[in-house]
Amino acid sequence: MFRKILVPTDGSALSEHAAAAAVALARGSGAEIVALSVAQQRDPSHAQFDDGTSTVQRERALNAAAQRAGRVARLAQEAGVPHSLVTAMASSEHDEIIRVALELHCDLIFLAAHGQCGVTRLIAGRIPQLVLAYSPVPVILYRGGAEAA
Amino acid sequence: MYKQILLPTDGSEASQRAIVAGVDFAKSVGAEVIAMTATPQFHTFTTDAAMLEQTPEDYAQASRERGQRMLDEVATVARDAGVTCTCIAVASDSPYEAIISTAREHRCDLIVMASHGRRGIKGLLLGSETQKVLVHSAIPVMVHR
Repeated sequence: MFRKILVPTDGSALSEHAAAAAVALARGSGAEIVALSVAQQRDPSHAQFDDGTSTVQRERALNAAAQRAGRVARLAQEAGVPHSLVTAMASSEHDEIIRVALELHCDLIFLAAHGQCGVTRLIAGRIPQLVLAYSPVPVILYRGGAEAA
Repeated sequence: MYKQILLPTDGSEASQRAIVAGVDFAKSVGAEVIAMTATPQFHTFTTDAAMLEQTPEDYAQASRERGQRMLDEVATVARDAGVTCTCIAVASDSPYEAIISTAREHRCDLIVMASHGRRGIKGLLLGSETQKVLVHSAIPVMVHR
């Protein structure tokens, strides 16, 4: 039913578990995976302190994102699931996730219920909630497996 | 991978769309579905117009019938798709609690629900019961707009 599953990851352990579950779903139903990691764009007002390191920082951030997405891609590869890898730099992570979903015609977004900015387990993560709120396609929110209090 | 999918419904249009998607998904992964409704208990002090007008017995009867109709709708969609469906009516004032406990009792491995339900309050990014299920669920939740 779902042909192309977008799997955003922020490098957290829960993200990786969610990615593994997404890969299992893709393998079982013959779908492909798009692994996505978004690097946080720095506030442009910081430019006044630019001493030439911003390009380096930008590269570093994108490399880190590529590594995170790469781990998801590797899971897909090991499972024999067709996949592609996307990294992006954006100030609004949830907007970027939705933009990529639309641009690449994904029909499902599969992501962890909590983000890296962890918060407590009493709240679903801010970014997952925002993705859910604005997503044009169904979203599977993956939990850790232990119930919240 | 998913074997038992819980499909809570409140009879709303959004719910119905989620049900169709949930059944399609179940079919595609070879899962069975469990349809459920949560019907509020009768309260003497209430702002619910139906409850104010009726006796507890009448209300219970009307509630049961309403719940059964919603479950029948899901059963029909499932049957037409060739998906095994079990129907459960839960008496509960708290839909999200009923959903979580039903999922646990029946060892569901996925819940499919609409982003907004019957009250569909505009301006809320996410319906209140969906929100609570997301927070308390141990298993993945597929949210359908």
